[in-house]
Amino acid sequence: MAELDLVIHAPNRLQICAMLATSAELDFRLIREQLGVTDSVLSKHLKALENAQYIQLRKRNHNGRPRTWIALTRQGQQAFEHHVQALEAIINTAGQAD
Amino acid sequence: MKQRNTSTASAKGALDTMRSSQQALLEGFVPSVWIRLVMSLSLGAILFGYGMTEHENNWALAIWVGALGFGLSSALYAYTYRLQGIRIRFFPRFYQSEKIHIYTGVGFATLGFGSRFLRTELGMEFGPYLCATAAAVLFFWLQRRFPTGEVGIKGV
Repeated sequence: MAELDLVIHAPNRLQICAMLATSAELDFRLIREQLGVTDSVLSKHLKALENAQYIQLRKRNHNGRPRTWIALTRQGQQAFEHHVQALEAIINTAGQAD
Repeated sequence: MKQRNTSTASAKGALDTMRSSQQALLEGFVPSVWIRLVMSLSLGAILFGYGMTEHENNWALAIWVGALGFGLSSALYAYTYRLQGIRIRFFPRFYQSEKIHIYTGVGFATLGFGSRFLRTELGMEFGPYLCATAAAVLFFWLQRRFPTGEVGIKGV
């Protein structure tokens, strides 16, 4: 049975992973606006995910402006899938017990 | 770092949070309906042209025009997303998404084959119209349902 991953389980990191799962890469600013947090708070969460090797950060220039793109790594993708499976298992187990 | 002690309500809440984040992203940044419409109609034109083509007649041009329209509108679709801060994947990330891509690929190939087969082999002149319309409607619906090509978290 899949287990919950505490690195992902924090509410903001959960949302970050869920958003990253929908696409190849997301812009730092877009994630910040979607979460409604400050740069420093988002950076802290991204650092935690990066340290766990769940995400990869790339800096690229777009029209002369630097943009930070964030992508879920294969390891992050597997961790996210297992985390979702673990959450579903908790709900299903409780449903069967009722 | 793993843990197992989470209540059902907390698990539901976590899944709801993830689902709403994905929905907000997918619905809030989806490219213009016109781009999606051009993509769908271009795909329909390719299938219709294939169904109507006989010995390089004028309908063969519809395949080329459709392919050009589809290519350009697809590039615009991806570029529009990118401008907003989203880079979409060409190949899906998750197994569920891969399955849907395979099924739809087979479905479009069948419609393409059917478009020609119905008209040339069975004499059903409406075949290309039917298959092209079905393909365009299906593609438009798929883009509405899975705008980035990935399947979101299901409801619990």
